[in-house]
Parts: sequence; structure tokens; C-alpha cells
Amino acid sequence: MPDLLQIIDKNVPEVFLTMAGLKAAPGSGEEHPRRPSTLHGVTGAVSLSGKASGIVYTGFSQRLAEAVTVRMLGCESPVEEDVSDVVGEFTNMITGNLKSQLCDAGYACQLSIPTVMRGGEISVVAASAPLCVRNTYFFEELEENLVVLVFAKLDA
Amino acid sequence: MAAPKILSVDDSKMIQSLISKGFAPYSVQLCFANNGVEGLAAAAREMPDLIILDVTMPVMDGVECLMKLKGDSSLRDIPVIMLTAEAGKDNVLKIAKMGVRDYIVKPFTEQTLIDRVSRVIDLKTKGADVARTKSIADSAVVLVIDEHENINESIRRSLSSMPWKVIATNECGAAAQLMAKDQPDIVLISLSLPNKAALSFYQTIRSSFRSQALPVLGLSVKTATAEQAECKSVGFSGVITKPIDLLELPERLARAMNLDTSSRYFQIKESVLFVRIPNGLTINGASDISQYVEPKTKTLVEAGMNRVILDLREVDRLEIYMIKLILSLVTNCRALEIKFRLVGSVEFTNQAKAYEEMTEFQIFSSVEQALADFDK
Repeated sequence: MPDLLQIIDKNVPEVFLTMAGLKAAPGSGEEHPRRPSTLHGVTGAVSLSGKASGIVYTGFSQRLAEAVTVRMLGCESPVEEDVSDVVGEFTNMITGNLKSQLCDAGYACQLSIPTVMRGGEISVVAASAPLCVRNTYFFEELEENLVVLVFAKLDA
Repeated sequence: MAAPKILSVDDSKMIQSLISKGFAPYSVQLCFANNGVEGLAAAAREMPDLIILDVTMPVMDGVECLMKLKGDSSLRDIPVIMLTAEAGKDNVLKIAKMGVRDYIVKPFTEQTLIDRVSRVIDLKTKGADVARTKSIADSAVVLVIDEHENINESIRRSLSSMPWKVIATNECGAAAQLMAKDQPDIVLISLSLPNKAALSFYQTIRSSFRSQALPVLGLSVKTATAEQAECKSVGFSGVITKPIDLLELPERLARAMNLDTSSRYFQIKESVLFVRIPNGLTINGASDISQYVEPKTKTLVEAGMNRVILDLREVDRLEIYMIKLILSLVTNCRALEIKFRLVGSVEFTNQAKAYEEMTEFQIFSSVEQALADFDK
């Protein structure tokens, strides 16, 4: 059985370092976090379907989402559409890397197109997903945290 | 010759922005489409030399778009590089079977993008076709402004073998005085000088008619991408990241000053043109050499000579872009009916055997052997 927490702890820092030159330090992580989980600010989501099904959420604070967007697009004050684009693309890369490793482990699956949500407090729950992992990644340079949450079901 | 045209089909503004930034130093025409449907229309309209195609897109994804491209007789030969966030074995095999030239897995760096694309099309740096009046053997003045004395010193050491004068200081006031006395041919300035002094100094340089076209390069820590983006947006000629690659620095500065560097690689001895490929040749170095191939071989023929030795003895690691360079030289020689011979080390010869494109060539182990073979 693939270790989801280990996979995202490797993928998330790699994606941010390669694309944005940002170092993301993983927290200790939770294997079965209390459900429902809450996210704040700008949330990206990509779902998985197939032998591995579920959903990956990335919770950016508004400030983190804007800072990463400025870095990626080189603009001073990004509009909402640009922020959504960047959050969606990062979520797609994180989930795409997770999917690759699930497929290589025998859990063939497909990805959805990323969606981006905004809200003061977004509550997420996936009652049918037996696997739930959550971790926080600290960007020292920006003094901000990113939350990544994975709900998954793996069919043998 | 027109600059090669690249079509990027991607719904993400972020990826399109990365592609624009990545190719900014190169002479290419970029066009963009936001999904597969727009991509097909743009491909038919623009007839690009290469398509960079994202997999995950709304309306029509990259896989469907690729199938339609391959099903259209007028578009099927356009090489396609797929961009995908999924690097799993099955996905890679699926993509390979669809007839793509290559694929790039996200996340990717600008360098990866340039490396992969340069395997498919000839990338030339901007200004490469402009006539060069100064040679790398001529004197030049390099002004360095960095708050760290050790950086100034290491740049000075790195350039000590060049016929260039390096003048260095740690602040812009002193730099302005140095410039008044000794007009530089290039300026390197730290982007982390206090109070964004590099940006103000850049504006001062550009406001003077005398230095309007002076190349100005920013010096910046690799991860300080925000300041790098800012300096590029105001018009800096480029950025050199710290830690500085001191071996590559002379080549980068020569390129930024648009110097004729051909004497490093091309030399005529006893009626034979020697083309020397140095070890550790970078992709930019290869691009630099390739632009001299046509004029140099033409000059050779005009002077009544018809022999070329391609000297690869220093090369101990063969890269794809070197093979492209070799093939371009060979094509030129054949077109002009020039006799050519390849000379390479044992390491080079062994590595060359692994490439189908290289199997037709005999590689001599010494220049003497190669010269003797001309007369057989």
C-alpha cells in the first residue's frame, strides 16, 4: 500500500522548489485527521478516479497564493483569475505526481481538471475515503503555510 | 532565415508565462492557444516548427488534440513535445506510442524546457545574426558592482585569461565615476544592493545616449526569482545567478557583448579548417558555433580550400546538441563538396557508437591520421 503522506511530503517541496524557487518544509503530518477538515483562503482541488479514487486539496492563504502568483507571473498585483490559474496549476502538478506513483504501484487512475474555490472557511469531508492524510508545509521565505489534504480509496 | 515558430497549447497562463520567459533570450516566434480546439486551429494557421502540448486542458485535452494532429495529413509531421504532470510508466508509454517527439514532466525548469526543445529545433540566441564588429580577442572593459568584495574578486579571477579589463566597486556612486573615466562594454550589477540601487543605476545608464545600448546583466541569488523577474521586466539584458558559474562566465559575457567568438573554435592551418569543440560545451556554446559554420565553410571554399577537421579530442561527454552541431557541419561540408574528417578521444568514440546518427562516421584518434586519410 503506497504511503500517501510520504509521497506528498516528497512531491510538494519538489514542485515549489522547481517551479518557484521556494523551499517548503513539511510538518509532521496526520495520517487520519479529524473529519471534516477546514481550509481557508484559496483552495485548489483535483480529483482522482479509477482504482485509486479520491481528491487532493491544496489550501493556500490569500497572501501565499498572491505571493506565489507574483513570483510565477512577474506581475505586481495579480488579478483573481491569475491567482486561480497558479493555484490550479500547482494543485495539478502535486496531484499528477501523486497519480504517477499510484499508477506505478498498480492503482491506475485518471485526473480531473483542477478547480479553485475561495472562502473564509471551507469545510471538506469525504466519508467514503478510508485514507485521509493532511500536512502543512512552511515557506520560511514568505512566512506562510500551505495545507495539503488527500482523501483516497485504493481498490486492489 | 525566419526564426523558428513554436506553438504552445496550454490553458495555464503560468505555463505560458514560463515558456515566454524561457525563450526570451532566443530568436523564436511564439504563439499560444488555450486548449486543444484552439490549438488545432492555430497549428493549421501558423504551421509551427514545434508544438508544446499540455495534456490536461478543458474543452479538448492534449491527448485528443494530438490524435487529431496525427490524423491530419498537413499537420502530422509537426513535431510535438507533450507537457504532463504525470510521469508514471504507463502514462509515459502511452504518450510515446502516440508519436510525440518528447515529453516534459511537470514540475520542470526553464533549462529543461530549452534543452528538450533544442533537440528538435535549432535555437539561436537573439542578435546572433547581427554582424559582429568586435572579436573575443579584442580588449573590452567589464564593470562589476557588487556589495561583496569576494564576488568582485572571483569575477576578476575568472576573466583573467581574457583580454578584458575588469573594474569593480561595491556601490553605484563609485561606479558612475568609474564609468565617466572608462566607458565599459558591459555592466554586471548586484540586484541585492540596498534600496533597489541596481534598478536606479540601470535607469541612469539607459538615460544616457552613450550607454543606451550597453548590455547590463543582474547578479542575483538563484532563488531570488522576484528580483530577477523585476530586473527583466525593466529591460536588463539578462541575469547571472549566484553561485556564479565561473567557467561559463567568459562565454556568457562574450555573448552578451555580441563578440565574434569564432577564433575560439575555428582556425585555418596549412589550408585545412580546424573546428575545435571544447570539453563541457554548453548548449549556448553549441548554438554559438553553429551560427559560424555556414560563413566559415563558405569562406574556406571561396579561398580555394576544401578540407575540414572536426576536432573532438577534448570532448569526454557527448550530448545531443553536440550531435546536432556535428550533423549541421557535415551537412554544410557535403553541400559545398568539402572533405571532412572527425577526430575524437576514445571516450568520445565509444559514446558516439550509441547514436545511430553517428554510426556512418569514421572517427580518427589523431589529427595526423585524419590528415593522411585526406590523401588516400
